[in-house]
Amino acid sequence: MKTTIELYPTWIRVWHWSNALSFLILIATGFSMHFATPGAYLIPFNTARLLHNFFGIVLVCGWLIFVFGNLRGTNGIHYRLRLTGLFRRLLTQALFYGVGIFRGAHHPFPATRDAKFNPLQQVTYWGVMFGAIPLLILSGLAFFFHDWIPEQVLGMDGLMISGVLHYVIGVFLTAFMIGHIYLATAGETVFGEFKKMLFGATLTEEKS
Amino acid sequence: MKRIQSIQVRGAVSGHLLPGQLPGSILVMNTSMRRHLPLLLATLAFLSTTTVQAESGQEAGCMRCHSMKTLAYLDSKTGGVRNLSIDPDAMARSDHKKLGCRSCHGAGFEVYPHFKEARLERLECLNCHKENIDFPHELFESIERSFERSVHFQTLPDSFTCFSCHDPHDFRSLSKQPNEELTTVVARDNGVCRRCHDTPNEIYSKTGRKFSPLVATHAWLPEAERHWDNVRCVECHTGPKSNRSHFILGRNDAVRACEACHSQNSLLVAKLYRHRLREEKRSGTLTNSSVMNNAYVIGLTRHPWLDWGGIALIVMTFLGVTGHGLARWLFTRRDPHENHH
Repeated sequence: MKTTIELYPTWIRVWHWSNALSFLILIATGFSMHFATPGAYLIPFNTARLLHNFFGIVLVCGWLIFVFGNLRGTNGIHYRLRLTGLFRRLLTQALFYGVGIFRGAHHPFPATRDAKFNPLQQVTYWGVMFGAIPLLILSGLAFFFHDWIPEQVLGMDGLMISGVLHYVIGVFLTAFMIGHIYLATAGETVFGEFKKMLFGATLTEEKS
Repeated sequence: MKRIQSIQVRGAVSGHLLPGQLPGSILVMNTSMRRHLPLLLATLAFLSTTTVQAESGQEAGCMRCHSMKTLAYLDSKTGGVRNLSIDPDAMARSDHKKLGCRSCHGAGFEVYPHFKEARLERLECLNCHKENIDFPHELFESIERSFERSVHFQTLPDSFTCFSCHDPHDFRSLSKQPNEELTTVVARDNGVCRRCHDTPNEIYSKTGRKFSPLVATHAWLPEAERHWDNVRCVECHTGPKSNRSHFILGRNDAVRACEACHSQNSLLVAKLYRHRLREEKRSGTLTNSSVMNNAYVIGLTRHPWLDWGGIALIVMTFLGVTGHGLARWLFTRRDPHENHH
């Protein structure tokens, strides 16, 4: 019997593009504030501050929707790491990106109803969604609720640790976004993955 | 009801403001307080347990009265109490700690009760600071010029003096406090401004104008209280290209651009952190530690390693994906059919 499932349901697509927009604005405004120079800024400081605060909250809401959505629905299955043979699978996927892709090899882990991500995607997305983003959110919220932060930590302003952490994670997530956009072109066709995330994609499988 | 015009307190010159006394220490009183003022002052003065600082001869004599915390009189002109008290501890910490009372105060104060001439004494900071070879002449000339251009002097040329802000008995220059907590320095410095600008009655008695509360005039400033805890009013209320803290700017001319401080070339480096950074340079401590060890200031609190590390990571990622994409394109171009195998 054949079954058809939607790999990218509407809520995932809305969440994804809201995240994408938030990321772009947060990166631009964060960069602008961190490297602010009188008379040579990307975005005026106060505008950047307001935008950064607003889209930071949008990102927090998005993350909460992501967590609850995955707990309630079936999408969470794609984030369940199977540790058995993980290293070998990661190596296979890395070899594909490093060698096979140039030779026209087939994708070693095509999407299935239980695993729409390849092993590298799964580990990276897991780290981003359950590691980097929560830390980014917590360190960002520290600026909103600075009264809760100790005044001094290791002889420095209590906000120093959260500030530096926020910057470092922001840089890594910017690098992630560049890699993520690029690898989206490495699907079956160059624009195929973008279309899937815009318009959805169904997967038909033979159910035994 | 009999209105009290003046109060004579032992040790003070009755009903007159001695030149050099601080207008900033006036307390504006309501009617009930005025009625009980003589009793209150006299009682407190005699009960005061403040110790007289052990000083030699003349100073000890002066401080017997002037170290009393309640030594004051009612100024009939302003209706405020003139404080004649000097905190011996503050004096001992001040930049003027080595000076005797008579170094500044003249012959009229030689004995008690003070001579009438004492009333006529006009103290000028610049008498010492500009004409003395121990001090950099150019600096104090520049201070004088800045002061004369300040909004304070421009608005109140007859009554605004050095003593309106600086208490010579408690004055400590920023440059001589390299080890003091910066928040303490900031609180003390801002206290001078807030003594008038955060006290509507006080400023009304001096200018006849009603100023809006600071919170209202600074409503545009995000996290205003946090700013006031960590930076001095003069960081913004003096010229952007100047470290002359005496050229005080009014609200229309003050710095409003956030980037002026929130950047690596921050005004804070030129003003608040100036002396500490100079000290760091001299002693060869870790570059930027003054900036890194104080309040976290977005745009300023940056470490070059982290900045370059971040830029390098982004550039390498970009170059990596560009190279990979280019290689993919070249291989596909070389053998367009291979992808279908």
